Amino acid sequence: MTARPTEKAGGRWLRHSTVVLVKEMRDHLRDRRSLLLGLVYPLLGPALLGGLLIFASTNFQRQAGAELSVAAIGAEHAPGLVEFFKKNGVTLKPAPANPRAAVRTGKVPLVLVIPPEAAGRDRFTVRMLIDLNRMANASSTVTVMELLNAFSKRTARRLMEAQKLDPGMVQPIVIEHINVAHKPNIASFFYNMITPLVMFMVFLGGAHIAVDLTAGERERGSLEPLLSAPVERWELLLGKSGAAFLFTLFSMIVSFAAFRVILGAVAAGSSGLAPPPDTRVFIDMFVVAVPLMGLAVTMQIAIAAVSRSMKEAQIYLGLLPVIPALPGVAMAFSPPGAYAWMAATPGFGQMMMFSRLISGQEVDPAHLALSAFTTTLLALAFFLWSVHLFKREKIFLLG
Amino acid sequence: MAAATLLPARWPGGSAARSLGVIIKDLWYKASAVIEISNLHKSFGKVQAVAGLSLTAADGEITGLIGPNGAGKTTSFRVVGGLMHPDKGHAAVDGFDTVTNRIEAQRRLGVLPDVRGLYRRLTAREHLRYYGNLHGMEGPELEARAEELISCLGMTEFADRPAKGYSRGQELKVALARAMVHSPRNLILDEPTNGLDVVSSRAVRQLIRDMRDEGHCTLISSHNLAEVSVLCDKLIIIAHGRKIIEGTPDELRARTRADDLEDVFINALAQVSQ
Repeated sequence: MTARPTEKAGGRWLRHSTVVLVKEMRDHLRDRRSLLLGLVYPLLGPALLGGLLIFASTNFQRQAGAELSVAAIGAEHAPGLVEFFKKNGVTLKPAPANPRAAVRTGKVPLVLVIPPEAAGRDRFTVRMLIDLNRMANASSTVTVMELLNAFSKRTARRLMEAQKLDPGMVQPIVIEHINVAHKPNIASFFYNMITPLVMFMVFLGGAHIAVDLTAGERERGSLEPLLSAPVERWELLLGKSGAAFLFTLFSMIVSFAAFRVILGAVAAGSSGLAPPPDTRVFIDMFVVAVPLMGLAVTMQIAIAAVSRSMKEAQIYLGLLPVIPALPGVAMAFSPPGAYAWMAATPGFGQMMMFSRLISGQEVDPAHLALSAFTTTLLALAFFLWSVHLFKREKIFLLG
Repeated sequence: MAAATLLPARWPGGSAARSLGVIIKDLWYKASAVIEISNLHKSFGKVQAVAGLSLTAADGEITGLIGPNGAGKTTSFRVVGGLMHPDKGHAAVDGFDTVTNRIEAQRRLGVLPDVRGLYRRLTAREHLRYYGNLHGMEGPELEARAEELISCLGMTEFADRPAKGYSRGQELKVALARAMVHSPRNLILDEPTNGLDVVSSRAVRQLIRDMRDEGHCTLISSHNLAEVSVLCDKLIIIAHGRKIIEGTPDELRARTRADDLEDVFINALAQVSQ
C-alpha cells in the first residue's frame, strides 16, 4: 500500500518539532521516576523554608504577652529582681538539682544564679548558665539578658538620683533602633531565602529530563535511528528542548504554589509571623522566571550533548545551579538599588527582581523586558551551540 | 503478504530552485532505486575504517555486504545513512548525496542499525507512529501501514505493549518495521535476522524478497553466510575498508573455486592477507 506523506513544506519544521515534543512528553509522563521528581523536587525548597519558619517562630520570636519561666538559684536573695522579671512576664522557678547538666542536656534553656551576697544589696553579680550551641535557647537567653540589663539601668538611675546626680551621665549616648523594613518581622528574613531556592529549582527542575532525552537517548542507542530520520537537527532539538521546558515550567508552577501554600499555612498557624508574599507576587516571580527556564533548559541540553555519558552529564548538571548563583554572591557586594546592568545580566537580573518582589517593591517593566531579552538571547546562543554539537558525527557514539 | 510498494517519493518543500532540482532527480531515478558508494574513505584518528570502497546496490536486487569484524561495514552504512561525513569520496541514495542533500537521501532510505535503540516506555505501534510522523505520514494511512507491518512481521501479540521486556527478536522486528514504515525505496539492514527464531527469520527473509520483487534496493550486512547465500542476488566481500571481490554467489564460488560461501569468504580473505 502507499502511505503518502501529507505534510506541507512550510510548516514542516513546526510539525517535526511538535512530533518530537509530543513523543517526549508521552514517553516521560509514563516514567514514574520523572513524575515523582517533578512533583517532589519542587516541594523540597518550600518544605525546608516552612520548617525553618516554624523553628524560627518557636525559638527566635517570643510572642507578645507569652509567659516565660526561667530556672533560678537563689531567687530569694533578690526579691526586687524577681518582682521586675514577673512584671515583664518572666517567672523564676527553682533550678534542677544539677543545673549545669540540665542546661547542657537541654532540659532547661538556662539557669540564672543569684549569689547570697546579693541579699539586701544594690550592686551584685548574677551568673547565667547557658549553652550557646543550642539555637533553641536563643529566645529565652536574649529575653533574660535584656531584662537584666533593664533592671541594672533602672537600679543605676535610682542610685544616681539618690546621689543628686544626673542619671543621663550613666549612659551619655542613648541608642534607639527604628526598623524601617517593609514588614519588620523575623519571617521576612526567611522569606528572602525564597530567591536562592527558586534559582536552584529553575536549574534543577527539568535537568533529569534534559539529560535523559539527549545523553540518555545516546546511551540507549535510540539516537542513531532518530538521526537517520529526515529531520533537521535543530528541529529535533527544538522538540526536545520544548519538552524539557514544559517539565521545568510544571516544576516551577508546583514550586511557587507550594511556597505560597506551605509558608501561608505556617504563618497562619503562628500569631507572630508576618504572612508570606501574596499570590500576585508569586505570579509575577513566575513571569520573571520564564526566560530563565528557557536558559536553564538550553544550558542543560548543551551540557548533556557535550558529555560523554549520562553519568558525566549528571555530574555537570549538579554543578549548574552554582553558575546563576554566582551573580547572587556578587549581589551582596553590589550597590543597593536596581540598575539596568543588573537586569541585563542573566540570572542576576532575575534574582534582583525576585528580591524586590518579595520585599514588596515594584519591578520596573523596562528591567523586566531587558532581563527577558538578554536571557532569551543567551538561551538562543546555547541552543545554537547544542545544534552545532548535534551535527557532530560522534554525537550518537558512546565514549 | 503485501509488502511495501515502490513509491514515488514526496514532492519536497524548500525553495523553488531546490524543489525543481529534487523533482528532476526524482524523475531521473523514478524507475530505479540505487545506493552508490564511490571511493569512500573514512578514518577515526589513526584507524582507517574505510579505504577507497566503491559499490553500487541496484534496484530490484538484494546486495550483501560481508566481511570480518572491523572491515568497515557499519561505518559505510552510517555514511550512507547520513550520520557520518566521508573524509574522501561520497555516498548517494537515488542520486542524492548523503552529505550535501542529507534530508532527501534519508527520505528515500530505511535504516536498521546494529543497535536497535527502542524507547522502553513506547509500544511497538507508537514507535511506528513516531517514525511515520517524522517521515511526514499521519492519519488513517499511517495507521493502516503500521497495522500492515505489525501483521506481516508477526508483532500483533506485543504491538500494544511497552518495549520494556521485549525479547531481542521482538526488538528487531520493531526496529525493522520502523525502518520500513515510510515504504522507502532503499533499505540498509545491519544483521536483519540476528536474534530471530527460525519462523521469524524466514518471515523477514520473505519480506526482503518481496521488496526486492517490487523493485526496492536492499543492502544487507550479515555474518550469517548461509543466509546471505540464499537471500542475496549479489555479494560484496570487504576487508580493511576495501572491496575484495564482488559477484553473484555462483560467480564467487566459480571464481574462488570453492564449494560453499564460507570457503569463498575464507579464500578471499586469504588473498588479501597474501
